[in-house]
Amino acid sequence: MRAIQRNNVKVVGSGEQTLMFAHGYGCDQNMWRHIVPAFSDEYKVVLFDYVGSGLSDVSSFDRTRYSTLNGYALDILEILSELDLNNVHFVGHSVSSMIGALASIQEPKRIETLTMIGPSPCYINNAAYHGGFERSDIEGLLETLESNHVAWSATMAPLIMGNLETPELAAELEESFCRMDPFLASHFARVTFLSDNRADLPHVTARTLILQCQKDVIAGLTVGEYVHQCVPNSQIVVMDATGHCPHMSAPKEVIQELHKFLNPRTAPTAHA
Amino acid sequence: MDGTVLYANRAFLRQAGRDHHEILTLRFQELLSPGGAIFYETQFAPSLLLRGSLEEISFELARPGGERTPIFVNATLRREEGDSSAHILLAAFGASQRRLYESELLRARRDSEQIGEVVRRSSDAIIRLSSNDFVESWNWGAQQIFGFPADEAIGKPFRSLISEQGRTHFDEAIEKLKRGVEVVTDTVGVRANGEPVDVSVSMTPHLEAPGILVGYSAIIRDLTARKRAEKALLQTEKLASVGRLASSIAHEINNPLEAVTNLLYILETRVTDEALKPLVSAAQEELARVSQIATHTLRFHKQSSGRTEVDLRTLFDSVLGLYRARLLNSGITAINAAASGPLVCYEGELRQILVNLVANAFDAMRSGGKLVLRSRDAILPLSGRKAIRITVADTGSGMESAVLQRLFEPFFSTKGIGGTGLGLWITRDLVDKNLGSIRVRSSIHPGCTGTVISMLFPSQPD
Repeated sequence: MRAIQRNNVKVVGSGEQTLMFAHGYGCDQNMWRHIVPAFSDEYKVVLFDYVGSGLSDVSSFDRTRYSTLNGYALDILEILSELDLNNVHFVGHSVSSMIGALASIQEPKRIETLTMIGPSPCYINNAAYHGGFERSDIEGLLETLESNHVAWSATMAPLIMGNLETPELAAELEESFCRMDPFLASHFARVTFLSDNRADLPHVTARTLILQCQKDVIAGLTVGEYVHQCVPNSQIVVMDATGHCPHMSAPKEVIQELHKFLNPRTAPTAHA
Repeated sequence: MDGTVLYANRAFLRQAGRDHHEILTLRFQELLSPGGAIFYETQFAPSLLLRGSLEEISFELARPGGERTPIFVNATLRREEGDSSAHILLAAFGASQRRLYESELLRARRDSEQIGEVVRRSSDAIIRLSSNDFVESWNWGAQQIFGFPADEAIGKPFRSLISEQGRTHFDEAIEKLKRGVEVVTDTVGVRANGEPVDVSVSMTPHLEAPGILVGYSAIIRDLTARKRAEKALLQTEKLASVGRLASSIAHEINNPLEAVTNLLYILETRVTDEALKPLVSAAQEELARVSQIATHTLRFHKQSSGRTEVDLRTLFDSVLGLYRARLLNSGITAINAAASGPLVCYEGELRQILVNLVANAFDAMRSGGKLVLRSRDAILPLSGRKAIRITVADTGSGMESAVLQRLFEPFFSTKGIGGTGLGLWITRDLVDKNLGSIRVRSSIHPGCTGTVISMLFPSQPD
């Protein structure tokens, strides 16, 4: 199967340059819906779902391939290769920041800039490094996932079926927001929260923007600072937005920072 | 929208173990267990923002004292008119009882998954069958034995997997199962490619009140390997008893033989007729050969209790001696080219090895040829220790590579009814026992056909 079908790739907008948005753990490409319209006039925008998330092809799941973030990074490179895209501006949320970083290290020509929203190279505290979590916390997450297994699959699936009054495809798709295969969710959670990619950060050569929120319990300010210190060509912006998903809770601020970063000369006033 | 608590009722304060003032300084995710907080941030909150509501999501409240309160949460997003921000309404229900029940269910599911894993990966076929004899489940072992993948096997009638002759038994077995009796039987199954396969089947009925068969399970084991081993054992036992018989006959013959030898000796001294003398000495010569054959037959069977130093030239002579007449009749020249030092080994076994190989060489040279038994001093390639190489070379018909590949398999024979297919299998076993190695080269190119069997033994095994 081609990566475009496997990862439910959607291309919208047009422009000479390409923006690729990569969702984080727990959701799918729909999380970018408030951001995409602000860029689709000027950029070709590529959206996709990781295998196991959204409307990706679950049968393509390969436990070994996806046992490290490199497998997910390979998906990104395969998508870019099939679309024949180079010098892409990659915007990754949460775990996708690291996946994008790994992809850019493997094939630097594909990715020109990296924007990391709430990145963390390692969620687990480790000696002097403060990732924010203990291993037992991650076990707790897996337990929560498990105890929500039924509720979550119930919440996700029947709604798609249930919306019979609005049979249009678009409406059905909307109802699949943040759909995750419950078994793969727990796999993705493990890969996301138990990986340690700190050693990869210094190898990133792409120009990098780190967007850091206030009060982000998943990736706190110190983690953002750490990434900033490790990635050679990086800048960090601490936003007013709070939480872990600023592109959903405060899209305007994210759009503004993205414009500033991608187009430093013209952007700030036009879109503020 | 970032989870900051704006209002909480008394019931929630009780659940969370917080007071009114304290809770207004906190965010909802800070009231949760760390794992729950990650879930809230990564899955719950984004989905809620996109979907507007979520129901029956399970969390654990982390109370200040450290205890956890399991809750279920229903959540709705309420947007104010003309305002992009929104409030989240959460309704939390205590869920201790249900959580206990659920964790019990989860534990049970995990247990059954573990058992399921054992069944799935067993090398025995473990399958479930409906009461009307259709396959309902199919594991890895079943696939190995019958050659069908699960999707093809499920829905097949079980009797289609049993050969014709096994099916009558099978009907009886079903009758027994209906009475609630377990059935264990050996039968012949049919593989996907139509080949028969020896199997042992043990079937367990599953009855429900009032004694109605609702299905049964079958554990099927492939007996091919066992059957083959049994057959080999039987054959070697047969061969051994033939050997014992031969040696007892040889033993019995020895006494009258000696008597005749003595009588001939007396006769020789008394014969005065010059014309009769050559006849007597010819009779003596032939008799000497008979007694030699008897002695060899005896020695052949005698189990050597320990390793002895064996002179290979003598051994080669004695083996070739056994075949002398036959070799001569077929026009085969036999050459003893022993040129090594003595070999320390079980003499009887080495003799048997050579007899087997010479017999094969003889069979390959029905229209004459040359047979060479050779021994040379050599070095073991890995350890560099002293060794002796023994080769048995013939100019017979040679073997194709397909034959060469299966040469050492038990019951593989090219000799039709005359061959047991055990000779080389036993030979290799005996070579192994004497710490040796055996290699076969053979050519069927016209003009240079023949076979060379080469064995390497350490000259002084520890």
